[in-house]
Order: sequence, then structure tokens, then C-alpha cells
Amino acid sequence: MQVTTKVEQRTAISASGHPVGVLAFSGDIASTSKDAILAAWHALDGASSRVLLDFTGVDYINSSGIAIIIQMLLEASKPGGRSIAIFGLSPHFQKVFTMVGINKYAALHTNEAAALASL
Amino acid sequence: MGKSCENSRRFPVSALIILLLLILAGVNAGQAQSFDASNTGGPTPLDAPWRLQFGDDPAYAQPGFDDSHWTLHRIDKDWASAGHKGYAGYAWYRMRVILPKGNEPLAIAIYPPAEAAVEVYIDGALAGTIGRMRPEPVWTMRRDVYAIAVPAALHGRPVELALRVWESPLQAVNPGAGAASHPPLAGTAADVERIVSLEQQNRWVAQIPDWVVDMLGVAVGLFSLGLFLLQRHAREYAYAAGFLLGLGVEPLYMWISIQTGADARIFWQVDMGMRSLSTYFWVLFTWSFVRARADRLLYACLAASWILSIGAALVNLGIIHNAGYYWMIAAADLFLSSAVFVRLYTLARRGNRDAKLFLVPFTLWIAMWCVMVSIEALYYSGIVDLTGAMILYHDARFTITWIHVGWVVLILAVGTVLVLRFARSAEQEQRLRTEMESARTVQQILVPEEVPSIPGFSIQAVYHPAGEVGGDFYQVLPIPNGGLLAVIGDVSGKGMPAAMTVSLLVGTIRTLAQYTHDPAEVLTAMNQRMMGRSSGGFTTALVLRLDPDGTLTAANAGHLVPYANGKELDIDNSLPLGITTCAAYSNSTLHLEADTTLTLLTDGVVEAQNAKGELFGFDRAAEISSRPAQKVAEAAQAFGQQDDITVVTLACTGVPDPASAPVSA
Repeated sequence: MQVTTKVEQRTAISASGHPVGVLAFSGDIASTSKDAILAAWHALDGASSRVLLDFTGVDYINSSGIAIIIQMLLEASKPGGRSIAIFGLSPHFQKVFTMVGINKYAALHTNEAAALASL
Repeated sequence: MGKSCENSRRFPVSALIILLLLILAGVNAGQAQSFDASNTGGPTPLDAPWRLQFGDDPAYAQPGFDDSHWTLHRIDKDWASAGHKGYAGYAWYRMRVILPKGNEPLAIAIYPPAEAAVEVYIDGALAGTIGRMRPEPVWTMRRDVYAIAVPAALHGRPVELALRVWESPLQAVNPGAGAASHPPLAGTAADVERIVSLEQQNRWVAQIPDWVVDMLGVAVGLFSLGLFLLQRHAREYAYAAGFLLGLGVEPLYMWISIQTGADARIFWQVDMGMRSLSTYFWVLFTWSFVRARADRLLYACLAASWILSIGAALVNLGIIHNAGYYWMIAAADLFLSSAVFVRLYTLARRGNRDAKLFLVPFTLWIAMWCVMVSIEALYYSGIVDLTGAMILYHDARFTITWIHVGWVVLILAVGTVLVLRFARSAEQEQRLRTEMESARTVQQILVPEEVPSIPGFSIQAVYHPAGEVGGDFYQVLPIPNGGLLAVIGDVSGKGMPAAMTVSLLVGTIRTLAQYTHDPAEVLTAMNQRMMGRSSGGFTTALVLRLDPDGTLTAANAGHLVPYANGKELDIDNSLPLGITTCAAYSNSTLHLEADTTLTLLTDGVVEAQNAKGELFGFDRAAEISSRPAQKVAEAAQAFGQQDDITVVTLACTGVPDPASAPVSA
């Protein structure tokens, strides 16, 4: 059964002392999540050039969900975009993210501290 | 929106019995509270005024009790006419009766007042009880008339007949409370039993119109259930069955309750519960039939369908009376009818064919229903008795009301719209099936069901689509240098759109293979082809070229990495196809040992899911990847197939291997 996606926004400070916008997802990520995710993404403060994606609360991501995340990362990779780090993925989805080449656009970390250290 | 349960009290008139009695006994104008029933040729109605006293005292049963100061009252008149309107509780009737002589057993037929319990005393001894009087009186489901046997010793003698009557507080407020439907009859047991059974028969005959409507509802309900079993996804059939079968269960339940003398409050509560449920199904049926969205109006209607039950509970708890109950139902029914009408009307105006079809019979039905419920409410409020206006046909045996006609129209309308809907959806399903079959035919032409035999390679491939047509694809093509070009991929999504994309990709691959055998170039071209065709998803693909000398060149667009003898190969990954034109694909080159088997999978294997929601996963996939393709696919299927499963194994045999047998799914 598909659960709706929830996106919570908070801020953190990176190891280098920069403010980081954090988007924490929970539920399932699928095609129905698109609006929620993109709304949160666009609502991020324009100044936050460092973004952390937290997948700790995510149970399942299907191919449409992965497509949404890739879209977001492609947008961020444009000149003047944002640098992004990801953490909280299960080993399975860490592998899936690597498989589809997401690791080329955002570093995958096991926990928040490691992710903040990288930004 | 249930049926009227009160009609049997007002509409069926036992005219036949009364006629019979008049013929048998003649009109007897006996004197007050003393009645000579000894000289008549048949059962005698004890229709002289009785002595009536409100209250309760065991002494009232005794012979010789002085009742001369009691009120004189006709037993078939209500208590309101004796100055006790709305009286609930005990009252006693007394009369001195001279019983017929002879050896034939005697009996007295008692017609208890509506909803009351009665004890019959003859010369101070309890001769019989109707309903449940002790230890506490209970309002029970009962027949209209009961025979009470008279001890033989009393034949031909004057006796003191005393009736202890209890009227339920729940019913005491109704018009006519306390009145017997007919004065008691005294006569031979045979005659009285005959009258009782005749009355029973009449009661059933009087209910024939109800039974006809109910059986019609059951027939259409069973038919609807049958349609549901044929088309399980069409819930409207199940809802219609729930609504209509509820109609049939009710009279059966009522019959059982009367036979067993069940507690009427419990009967009524359960009965109203069943009707609420039936109404609930009716609302769901209407919404799902016209494919209306689940909106607030629907939820309001579903909530309103339980008002019948709530009302019955309030009456049983003594919070409201019958009149209040009928006004509550009238309001709920008016709301439900208007809401459903508004929903049907707005959809019909927007061109909804089903709504148009249903609007006319439904409007007819609600018009009748609203009039009917209003008449009930007016009657129970004691404002005006218009119950006669609902009668369409009436004779000595039974009465047909407009409500019967309304129900027949509604049930037939439901049956008709269901048949039309079924015929239409069966046609649509057939068309869809034909389309799917064509798609499968197209896919079968493009996706090899049999693995090509390429000299020098041992190839196995298994393809298990999750549906009729799948989104997985693979191609293994020989190339001029004696090697092969293999492509495996997965289009996100299922069904026709995915199948059509697969067809497009397979055509692209086969065309490309004529010009290039460079995996990265093949992927780049495929990516261009897929741009703008992914509708929110993407396609993963792995292209590899295996040369006869064991050189492997591979490029990967987000697909599962191949396994070589159970180990993942180190191949560069790039973005899936169809996401961005900027995606760059590069080749990785490796050398495979002579005895290496390559295993290519789609994510249907790693994302197979068991009942606990656990994924098959990459570890298990790696573990079994060196097994034959068929075994790998079977393991994933047995775990819990969710998506298309494709497994291709490739081994370089070094020398042409004529024995490499193709394996098909």
C-alpha cells in the first residue's frame, strides 16, 4: 500500500560553518510524491546553496520516485546551483542510487554528521 | 429508506373473520359486564362493554370481586377514549360470561391490544398468557389472535373472565393504544382454533404484496451478486446485491421473531440496523454506479443512512417517541433523497449516461417515499390520518399501496441499469483484451521468446512478465566478428504504455546494431530516442559486447550491474535513459576468463517481495546469480514476483557450441 510522502524542512550547520537546508522525506516516494517534493525543493531558501536530503523515514522508492530525485539533482547541478548530500538510505536503496548514477550528482552518506561534514 | 413495517397494523382488515362471525353468531346485544354465551351455535364475540380498571392488584382476578364501581368500556376502543391517553402499564378488564354446555372442549380467542402482553384469568385461575408478562412484562413480537383453553369443569357455568393487560411505554403514546383489534370470542375449541388459523392465513395473504416485492428484490439481488462474481472489480454490483438482499432477509427475520415471540425492542433494533445497512449499500451503489467522486455529500449520506438505527435506539431508550422517530426518519429520508437526486441530476446534466438512465425511476420512487414517510409521521403525531391515501387496491384479502409500486419500479430499474452496465463493460473488457493480445503479439515478434543460438556462446534467457505485456526487454544479437551484442533493460511502468516503449526500443536496438557495436554509442542513441517518452519514469538499460576472445565491453544506463560467476562486475554507471540529453555513457572494458558465466538481471529479481514486505535484495541475487537462468527466475518468483522478471546468462564456450539449447519462459 502506498503511503503519502511527507517532506519536512529544517536547517543545519555544516562542518565548515555554512547553513544547510535539510529536506527530510518520509513515507513512500513515487509519482504521486512529485508535487510535495518539488514544492519543498522550490520553497528552500534561495540562499541555501547547500542542501541535505534525509531519507531516514522513507520506506520505499519506485522508479518514478527515483526519476523525481534525479530531476532535482540535475537542476541543482546547473551552474549556480546547489551542492547536495544524501543520507539515511537503506543499504538496498544506497545500491539502487549508485546503480542509477545518482552518486555522480550527490554524495551518499550513512548518517547526518558525515553528510554535514562533506558540505 | 426501508420499507414500512407498520402497514400490517393498519391496512389488513380481517373483514372475512368479522363476516364469518356475524353469520355464525348474529349480532348479540348482551347486557353490560355479563354475557350469556351458552346458547349460540358458534363462537360468540364478547362485545358488550367490559368493566375496566387502570392499575394492578392480584385481587382483580378473583371471582366475586366487586367491580361495580369500575368504568364500562368497549374492549376494542382505545384507552384515550377512557380518559387515559398515553397510559403505559397495567389495566384490568372483567366480565361475567355464561359458557356453553356440552362435552366439546371450549376456548376463548383473545385479540391482544397492539404491542401489549395479556394474562387471562377464568374464575381466578390463570388460563393463559399472551406475550411475556412475568417476571417483568416485555413487549414481544406476537400474532394477532390467540386461543385460550377453558377447563372442562366450567362448561355450562357462569364464570368470571378477567384480563390483565400491560401496554408497553414505547407504544402507549401511539394512536389506538390499549384497544384490542377485536373483542374476545367464546366458543368450541375447534371453532376458535379454526378462527385463529384463518386469521394467521389472512395475515400471510395480506402480506403477499410485501413478499412479492421482497422476493423480486432478492431475485435481482442474487442476479447482481452473480454479476459481481463475474466482474470482481465492479463494486457497484456488490453494493446493489447488499442493498437488495437486505430486503429479503427482513421478512424472514420478522417471521422467525413472531414465531419465537422475540423481544420486540431487540427485533426492532436489529431490523433497523439491517435497514440502515441496506440504505448504506444503496448510497454506495448510487455513487459507484454513476462513478461520482467520493465527496462530502457521499459521507453525509452514508452517515444519514444510520439515522434509522439511531432513531430506534432513542425510542428503545425512551428518549423519543414513535412520532419523533418518524419525523427523524422523514428528515433523514428527505435529505438522502434530495442528496442522491441532486447528485444524479447534476451528473445527468453533464451528460453522464448512467445518471440519466437512473434519474426517472429514482425520482418517481423518492416522490412516493417522501409522501409515505410524511404520512407516517403525521399519523403517529396524531395530526391527521392520511394512511388511506396510499392505498392503490384494497379488498378483503390484501391491500396494495403505492409504496409497493414504487419499490417494484425501483428494483426493476436497478436490475435494468445493472444489465445495461454489465453488457457495456463486458464489451469494453473484450475490446481491452483484444488490444492487449495485439500488444502481446507485437511484443512477441520483437522480444525473442526463443534465445538465438550463436556459435561459440552458451545463452539462456528467461522472461516472466508480471502482466499480459511487460516492460522488460532483452536482445542478444550476433555480430560479424563472431561475438555478440546483448542488451537488457526495463521500462518503468506496466501495461500497454510500457509495452509500446519496449517495442520502440527493441526496434531501435535492432536498427542500431546494423551500424554500431559500441555499447556507449548504442546507449547514447537509445537515450535520444527515449527523450520525451518517459512520462515521469525512465528506462534502465545495460548494453554489452562479448567478443570471442573473452573481451567484454559494457556501458550502463542505470541498470543492474551484471554478475560474473556470482560477483558484480566493475562497470561504470550513468543515468537511466530518457531523463536528460546530457547523459554521457562510457564503455568499461574487461577480460573474462574462459569459464566465466555472465548473469544479467532486471530489478524484478532484486525487488521481488515476500508477504512480510521483505525485498529479495542484492545479496540474495548475487548469491544465486551463478545458477542457471531458469533457477534464478524461479527463486525470485517463489519469493514474491512484483514486477517483470528477466534473467539472461551468457557464457563464452570458446569453440562453437552447437548444444547451446535455448530456454524459453
